[in-house]
Amino acid sequence: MGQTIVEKVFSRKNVAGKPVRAGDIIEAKLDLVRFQYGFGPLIREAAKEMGFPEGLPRVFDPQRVCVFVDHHQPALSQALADSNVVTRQEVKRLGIKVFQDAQPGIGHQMLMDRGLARPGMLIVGVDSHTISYGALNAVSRAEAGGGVIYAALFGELWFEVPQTIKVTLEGHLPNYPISKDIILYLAGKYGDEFGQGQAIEYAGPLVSQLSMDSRMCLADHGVEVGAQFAIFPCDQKTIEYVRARSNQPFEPTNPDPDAEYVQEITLNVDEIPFVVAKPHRFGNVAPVSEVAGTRIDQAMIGSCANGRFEDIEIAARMLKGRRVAPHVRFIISPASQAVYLQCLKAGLVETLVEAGVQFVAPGCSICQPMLGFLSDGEVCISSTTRNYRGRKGSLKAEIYLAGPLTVTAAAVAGEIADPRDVFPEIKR
Amino acid sequence: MSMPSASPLNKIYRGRVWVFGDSIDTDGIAPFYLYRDPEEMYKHTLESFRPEFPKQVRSGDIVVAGKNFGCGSARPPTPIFRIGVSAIVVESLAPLMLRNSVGLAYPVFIAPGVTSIVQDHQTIEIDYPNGVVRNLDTGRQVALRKYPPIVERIYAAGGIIPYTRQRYLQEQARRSP
Repeated sequence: MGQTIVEKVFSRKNVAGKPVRAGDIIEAKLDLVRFQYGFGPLIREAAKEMGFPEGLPRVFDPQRVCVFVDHHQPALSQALADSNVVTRQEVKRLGIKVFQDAQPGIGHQMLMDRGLARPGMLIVGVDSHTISYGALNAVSRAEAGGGVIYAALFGELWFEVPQTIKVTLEGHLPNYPISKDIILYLAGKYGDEFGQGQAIEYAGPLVSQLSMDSRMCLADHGVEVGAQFAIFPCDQKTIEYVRARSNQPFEPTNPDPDAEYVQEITLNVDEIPFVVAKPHRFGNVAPVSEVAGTRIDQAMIGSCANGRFEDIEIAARMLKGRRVAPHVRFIISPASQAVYLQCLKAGLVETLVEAGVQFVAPGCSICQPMLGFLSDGEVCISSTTRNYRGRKGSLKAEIYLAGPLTVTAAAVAGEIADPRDVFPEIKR
Repeated sequence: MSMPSASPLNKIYRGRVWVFGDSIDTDGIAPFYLYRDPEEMYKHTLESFRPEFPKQVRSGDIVVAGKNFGCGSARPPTPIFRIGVSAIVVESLAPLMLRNSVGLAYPVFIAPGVTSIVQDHQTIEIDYPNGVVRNLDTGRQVALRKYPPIVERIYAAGGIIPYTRQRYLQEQARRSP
C-alpha cells in the first residue's frame, strides 16, 4: 500500500527510523523551528521554569531555529518594544543565525520569501498559520509555546501521523484569485471542522495552474477547517519558486498513486458561486447573492491568507478608473515588504491610493484588533483569516470573509455585492 | 510506564456544567488583544458565546463543548481555568488547542457524544482512569478518549516544560556519568 505525503515525510523523519502509517505516534526530527515576536520573553520565562536562570542552555542547531520579529512593526507600544529588546538579546546569546528583526511583515510570508521553507521539510512554529508552508510541499504545523521550546532544544517533537483527506480540484482557472472561494465553499459544505486533526492533500488538474500565492492561501486556511497539515504536491512551479530563493537541497515529496485516504473530495471550481462566510464562523458560508445589499463600513485585503501580490493586483485592476464608496474604509496591508515592493513596481499602489484605499504597513495588524477596530453595529468585509466574534473589537460588530475580488466589489458598491454586478468585465 | 497519581488526568472531577456549542474559538476564550492585562482578560473569557458565563461561573464548574473546541489562534485555555473552571470536556479538540492544553497540563478531555448526555447546570463526573463521563443527575454516560502514552507522560510530568527539563537532565546525566 502506498503512502500519502505526510506518511512519506514522517517515515523519513521518524526518530525510530521506521516507516510510518496514519495513526502512528512518533517522535520526529525537525528541519526548522520557527519563532516570532515575543520570542525573548517566551524563552526566558520557560528557561526559568525549567531551572535554568541564565536562560535556555542551547538550541539544537542555530541554523535551523529562526526568529522573525513580525506581527506588529513598527512596535505598537512600549511593551512590544521592550519585548523586542529581550528577543534580540536571546537571539544573540543562543547564536541563532536566521533572525529577521527590522522589517515589517507577516513571519510566514517572510519565511517563504527567504526560501527557508522547502519541499519535503518538517517544520513547526508558534502561530497557528505555520501550516501555510504546506503550499511549498513542506509538512508544517503550529505547536504550543512550550512544545516549540522542546522542539528548539532537541530538534524533535511528537506527532500523531494524521489520516489524509484528498481534495481534487478541477475546472477552469478564472482571471482572479479563487482560493478563498474554494476553501470557504468547502467549509460551508463539509463544516468548518471537516479536517479535524487530519492532513489535507490538494490534487487534481487545477492545482498545477494555481499560482504559488493561491496555494499559500489554501494551505494557510487549512487551520480554519481544523487540519493539522494542508499540503500541495511539488511540481515545476514549486521548484522554480524555491530555486529562485534558495540554493539549499530539498526533497520533492508526492503521494503514491495507491496512497490511502480517509476521505476524497472532488470540487469543480466552475460550479461554485462567489461565497462569503457570514458572522461569526468560518463555516457559516452563503453565496454572495444571499447577503447582497448588506451595507459595509470597512473592507480589508491582507493577512497570511490573502495579502499577496495577486490579491492586491485584482483590487487594483478593478479599481482602475473607479472609486471606493465614500463611506467605506478600504484598508490594504501587503503580507511582506517583498510583496509591497512587487506591488509598488507594478504601479498597483498608485492606482489603489488614487481610488481611495488606505495602505497599512505589512504585518498582522489588520487581521486582529490592533488597527482598524470596529464599533458596535459596524460591518466589515475582509479577505483576512478569521471572522470570530470580537476579532476586530466590538462583540456587536459583524465580519464577513470573502475573496479579494468580492471585497473590492463591496468597497466600490458600499455594500456586499456579486462582483459581476459591480465589475461587468468579470466573467465566469 | 505507569502514571503517577499526581497527573491531572487521574483526578476525578465533579462539577456543575456549562454547555457550549461547536467551534468555540480562541478569540472568545482568550480575548488577548482586547484586554492586554491578563487579569482583566480572564473576566471576559467566553463572553462572546455566553455573556453571563464569566459573571456567574463558580469554582469547580465544568465546561462542556462541542466539536472543534479551541479553533483559531494559538492561545491556551488558561482564562477558563483562572476563573475557576475545574475541567473541560469536549466532543473534539482543535489540534493546536490539544497541544496547548497538554503542554500546560490542563485537565481537558475528549468524549465524543458528551454534549448529548448533559444539559446546562446538571452535574457530571469526569473519570479518566475508568474512561467515562457520567451525568450524575441522569445516570447517562459516554466514553472518554484515552490519550496516547506520550501525552499521558507529559501530563504526569506536569506539562511540556517540566517534561523538557526531565529529558534534558537525563541526557546530561548520560553524558557525564
